[in-house]
Amino acid sequence: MVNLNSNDFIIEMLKINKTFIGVKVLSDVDLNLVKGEIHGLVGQNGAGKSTLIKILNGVYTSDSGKIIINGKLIDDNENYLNPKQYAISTVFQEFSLIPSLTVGENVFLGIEPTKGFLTDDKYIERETKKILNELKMGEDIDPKEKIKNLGISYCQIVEIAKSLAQKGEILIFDEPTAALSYKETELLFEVMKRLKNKGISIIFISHYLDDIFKICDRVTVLRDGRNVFTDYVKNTKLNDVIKALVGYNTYENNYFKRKKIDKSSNPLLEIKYLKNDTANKLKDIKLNVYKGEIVGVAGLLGSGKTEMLNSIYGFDKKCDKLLKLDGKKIKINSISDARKNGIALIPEDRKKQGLILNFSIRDNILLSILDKLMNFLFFINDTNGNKIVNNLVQKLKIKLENIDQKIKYLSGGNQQKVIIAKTIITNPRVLLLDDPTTGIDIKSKEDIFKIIYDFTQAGNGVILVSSELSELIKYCTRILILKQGSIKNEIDCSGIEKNINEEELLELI
Amino acid sequence: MLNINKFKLRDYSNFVIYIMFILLLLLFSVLLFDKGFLTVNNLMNIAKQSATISIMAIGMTFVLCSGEIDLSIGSNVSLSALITTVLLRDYNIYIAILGGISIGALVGFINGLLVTKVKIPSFLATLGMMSILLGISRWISGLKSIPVTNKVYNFIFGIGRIGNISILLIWTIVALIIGQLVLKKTPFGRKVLATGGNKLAAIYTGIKVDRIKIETLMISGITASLAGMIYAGRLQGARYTLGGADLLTVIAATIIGGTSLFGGEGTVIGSVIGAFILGMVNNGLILLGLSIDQQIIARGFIIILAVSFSISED
Ligand SMILES: Nc1ncnc2c1ncn2[C@@H]1O[C@H](COP(=O)(O)OP(=O)(O)OP(=O)(O)O)[C@@H](O)[C@H]1O
Ligand SMILES: [Mg+2]
Repeated sequence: MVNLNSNDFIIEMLKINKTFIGVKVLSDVDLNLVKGEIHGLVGQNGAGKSTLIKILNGVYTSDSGKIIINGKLIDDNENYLNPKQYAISTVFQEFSLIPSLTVGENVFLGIEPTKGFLTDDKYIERETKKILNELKMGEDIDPKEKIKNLGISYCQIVEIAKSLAQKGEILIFDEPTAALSYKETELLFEVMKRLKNKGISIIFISHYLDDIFKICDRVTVLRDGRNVFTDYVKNTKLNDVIKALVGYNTYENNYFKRKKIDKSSNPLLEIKYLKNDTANKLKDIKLNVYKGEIVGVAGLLGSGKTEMLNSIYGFDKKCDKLLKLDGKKIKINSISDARKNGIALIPEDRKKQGLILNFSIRDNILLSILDKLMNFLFFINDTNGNKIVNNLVQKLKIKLENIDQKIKYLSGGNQQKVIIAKTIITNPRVLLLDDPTTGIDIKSKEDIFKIIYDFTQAGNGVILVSSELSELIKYCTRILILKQGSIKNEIDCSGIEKNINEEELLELI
Repeated sequence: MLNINKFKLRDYSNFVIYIMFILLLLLFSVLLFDKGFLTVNNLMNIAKQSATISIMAIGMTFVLCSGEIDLSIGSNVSLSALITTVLLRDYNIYIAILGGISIGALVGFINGLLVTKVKIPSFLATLGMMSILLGISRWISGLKSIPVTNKVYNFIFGIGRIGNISILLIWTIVALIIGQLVLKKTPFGRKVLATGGNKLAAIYTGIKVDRIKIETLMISGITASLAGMIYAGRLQGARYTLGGADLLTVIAATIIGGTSLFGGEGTVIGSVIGAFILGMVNNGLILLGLSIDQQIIARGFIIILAVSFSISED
């Protein structure tokens, strides 16, 4: 290992400690950033990654510890460290875009260029376009579009554009690729490399270790609020990082077996046809899901993946469809129709579509089964409710203080687990999953797919939309390629160990 | 089994308001000791005066929690009171009570349809409704007041006492208990809070948010009509001006009580205490001997002060 000294560092965080209402989240964490490097920061859900960078940003103040930026000690007493002053720009895990403003207005929020007394809208538009073009998104995102009309992936790209517009010396990305598919991720990496060559330093948080190894110079692993590993990526093996992450040696597991699917009987869910002329135009989708199947759907941004699930689920009402469940025709005109028929969806945007942020963990989970929990006095049966919730918290290994804690204080990945919990307890027959493992660490992802796998083995079915190809390849019995609203290709993997790799799959998309 | 003993702290986390209530009570008790603030009679008076505001605040809590607002309650009060008194005069007490409540529910239902189906923001839909109802009240009453002579009615809705306790306080307590249990203990209440907390997430969870909104507006309509009937009983007559000044008082009471104007958060008990705080302030200011103008100004200050204490930071 090369010895680095203070002169090489643009940021030095020393012995950072942080406690939230009695819970120690960070203990003596050191993190330093070399000028012009890309530094990966990894760790399980709730390890303290986001908290650490929020301290760096002045969103939180640390209980103790030193922060040195560009050789200058940041005063402990300084309540709010102004990130702009130190040329730090950050893409937080939680979005900070204002829905009612346009893309351009958001990108230049707080740094609006002026012409006389007025903001220079022409300039904003032009520059926003320029930045989006760098991300190869100039065609897809209109600077004049309002944020509220954009899906989560585009919002993520706008967040990134916003951080680039600040022209900071230091960039911090907290899981910027969680909501992006392969193509956009690659484009982001191109931009990151270009910035690095210009001498800009980047902290990159991600759960995708392959990405960390692909793009980072050094990597730091946090576990339970401690820095347990920092080294050059070139000196490191993937297994070292995994070991540091989870705290023990992992072993290859053979839990998932792609059994041969029995297609002789009626399919569980039969989509005879599905058309939707509005929005993203779904054209005549036909699809059968058999018992025990996980049907994967791959496609680019805008290929209609989310729209397809929303249409089946009855959220999108302007579609024309014919569905059969167990061979019987079903009518789904609303979400409660879908739920009644045992079709459930995990939506793509956990904050906006999945959670009631000021509800407790418990109340969020129970929200989907309130009527079933009602006792003869019309009250919610708390005893039963608590039992169910505690059970799920254990099964899904949700990291929390207690179940009456507000959900907004959970780490991102743990929030996602709560959504999975609240969907699973409705005992659905068919689960529609829209990127269900967004922001979930590698270990928890395994745990969650075990649950999904067990779910299918009990005679149920899953449609899994994912932007993560490796996930599709690993767990699906069949993969469909969606292109511009039609299914263009189908790869059957049932009964086979592995018959396609990521490159081949990417070719097809 | 009723789990009364398992009431959790989180349902009553808004301590500030209780402290505020007690401090104000102490303050007035000391300041106005000579003027008889702390007599049973005066306290019962405050309770009686606060009954209508409390009951409407309970309905408003549901509406605000679901993320909407109901501005039509003030004129709903006078219309329901007038209809009830007319029915009482021309038919009998049963039809009168049924008619009054039905009017409130119907107004709420129409408000609900306007908000959910025609998709007019509740602020505007109920603002329009406020004006329409007021017009109808003026029209059907010809600006005259209609007296109530039915003894039973006046007992139930106004001057009755059970033991030493005004029947209006009993109305308030019954409404409080039902409201609090419904909001915090039933699936319906939880769905109301979810709808106001994050409408989209509630929809994805399978909650029929339109129905929830219609129902909360109906609850508000019904509580407004109940308040109207109480006015008619207390004053032994109805007039189109009844409840005219109540809208803002009701909203102030709920916000002081810790209910969020933006939905998803609130308690019924907080709103009732908010109503009692405002009632106590009214009473205290009068006993202090302030002129009407001074009272109005002081009230304004106290509302601003109270709200600034009760709005939580996060
Ligand atoms: N404002 C807060 N109040 C209380 N606890 C908090 C708060 N913010 C974070 N925590 C807790 O601190 C711990 C670390 O959270 P943090 O968000 O830093 O995790 P993370 O490493 O970013 O996880 P993820 O990969 O899921 O995003 C978690 O257990 C979380 O519940
Ligand atoms: Mg995080």
